[in-house]
Amino acid sequence: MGGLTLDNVTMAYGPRVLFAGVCAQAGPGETLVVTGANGAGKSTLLKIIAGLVRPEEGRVRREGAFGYAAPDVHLYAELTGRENLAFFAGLRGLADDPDALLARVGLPRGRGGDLVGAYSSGMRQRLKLAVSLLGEPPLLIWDEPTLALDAAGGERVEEILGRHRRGGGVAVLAANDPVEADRWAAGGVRLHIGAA
Amino acid sequence: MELRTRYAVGAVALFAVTTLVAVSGAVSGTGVRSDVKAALLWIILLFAALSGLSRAFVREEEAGTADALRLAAPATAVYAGKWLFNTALVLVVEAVSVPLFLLALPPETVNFRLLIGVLLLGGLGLSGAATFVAALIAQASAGKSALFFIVAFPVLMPLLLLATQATVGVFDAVPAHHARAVGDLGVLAAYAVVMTAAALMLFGYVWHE
Amino acid sequence: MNEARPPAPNSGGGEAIGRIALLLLLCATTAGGFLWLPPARGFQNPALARIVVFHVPCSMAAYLASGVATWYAIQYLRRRDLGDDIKSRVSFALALLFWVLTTLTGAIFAKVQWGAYWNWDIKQGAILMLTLIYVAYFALRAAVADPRKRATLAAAYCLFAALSAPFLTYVLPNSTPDTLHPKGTLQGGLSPEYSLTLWGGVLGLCLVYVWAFRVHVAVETLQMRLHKRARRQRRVVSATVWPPAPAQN
Repeated sequence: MGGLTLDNVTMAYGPRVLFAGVCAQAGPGETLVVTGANGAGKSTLLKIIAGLVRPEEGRVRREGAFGYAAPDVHLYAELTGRENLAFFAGLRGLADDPDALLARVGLPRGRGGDLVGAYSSGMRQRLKLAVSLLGEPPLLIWDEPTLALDAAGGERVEEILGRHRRGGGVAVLAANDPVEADRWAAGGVRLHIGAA
Repeated sequence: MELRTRYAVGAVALFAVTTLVAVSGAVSGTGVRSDVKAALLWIILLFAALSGLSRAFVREEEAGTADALRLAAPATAVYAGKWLFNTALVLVVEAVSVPLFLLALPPETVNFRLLIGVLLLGGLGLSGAATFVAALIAQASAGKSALFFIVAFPVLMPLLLLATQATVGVFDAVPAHHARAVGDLGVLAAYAVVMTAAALMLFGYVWHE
Repeated sequence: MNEARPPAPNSGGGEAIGRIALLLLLCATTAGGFLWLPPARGFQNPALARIVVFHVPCSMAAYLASGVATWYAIQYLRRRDLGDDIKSRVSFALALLFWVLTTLTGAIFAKVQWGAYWNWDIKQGAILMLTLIYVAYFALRAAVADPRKRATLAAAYCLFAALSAPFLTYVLPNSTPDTLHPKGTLQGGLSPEYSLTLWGGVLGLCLVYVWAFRVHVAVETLQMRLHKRARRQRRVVSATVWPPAPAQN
């Protein structure tokens, strides 16, 4: 099962310190919610947790595989939705059924065959979430998962998160909306990056 | 997926052909020494290939797909994919340019087996080294295309010189040149192996933070 | 954060004596080179040909600097310590300096011996190529904004280019069997006076390199540490365990 430990994580860009000495832990079924103003460093922290960015100091310990979705990470616009899923599944040696995943995130099967370049932003977001769910990873790292999603999409996200947590998975979420943050953080830990 | 972006291959081939036409327009076919011809051939190949190879990683970074790739695939796989595509690109350019070159500026003689050898090994070395440089400059913040040439050129110089020298042996009938060219093939092979291996090892450091 | 130790006070006497000795050594070599050495036999302008005792030490120092730069590049990739990157870069710059000096002394020799500063001889072509690598290194560094990325890319390029260089030294002597550059003088052709002056020069310049290296590295490291301390910690991350919601989802 998944687990996550943040150990004295510090990140700085030149003279600007984003955060220092962050320690946190999340076990199976727990959620870590990161909040903060725009530009405070939420996305950076999530990237550090995902291993995309190396922290200046400190370590992140992850157990198991993880799925990652963020606003600035895109999928291939020249491929169709299904092809994107197949591509990433193939890279990791997974054999998930693309149509099932599309259904989970609420993408109509017909659109699965369209180029991602023709998707609306909400649809792209759903596809990103679908890609991150490949392989049913025990850890989900989602940066603003409800961005560009309509109400129905938002419900899907809640549904997926709920099932994930009940199944013992760990989730790390970044949220701009305080209401969402409260809801997700219920029973978990909330990290707030703010002014001293 | 790269195959969908066929425009890259087309553009590069066109570049090679245009350069070739320009050169042959400026130079009369018979009066040129074989070593100059050899040099010309490789310069054309080099510039055509470089113009096409530089974008290998930049597109990913700019489109934002690079991070998704970082998470999904091991670094070696990513590099191998790009490298194979670039090698194919180089070989296509060679296949298009060389016959045209031979027609436009016919050399004294053509030793075909040597020629194939030089083109193959030289092409491998070219794509091996250039792909790595492309990976390096993809992470730069500004002036990427110029930077690519500046950074790639010194590293490729040995290859250029070696390949040109070997091609001289292909183009003329002097036995000493011929023998030397055969030796050069060995060194070209070594270059290709060393640079590609080095690229594979170093790429991991460059790709992940 | 590790506390920055204040720089160790100069070991006063020891360092000063060392520097004075170095200065004397250099003076001796220079003076010896010009005044004491008998004019080289077999060269066009025997008096000026003695510049070889400067030319060779320059190139040796350059090799040393390049080697050190490459070593620290490897270290950086292994340890990701920015201090290693500083050392690598400083060494690189010093190597470039020495290569330029080598080229200049070589050009003077060429002018005197064969009448032209530059005649596209193979060895000169090789040095030109080498200089291009160094220029490319700094161009690459200049194009990357993030310091850690910059260090990583620079180190990787350093190693990559270093691997391609030996091929250069293979091709060149072979392509033109007779380069104008004298060969084999170091092995057998030097009279004792020359040997002494030359190797003295080598020692002297290498020590100059070491000295310059240490000074630059110390300055840069200090700057880096000052930067770190000047950073104010403006953001605090507070972790709160959220009160359990009444209905556990």
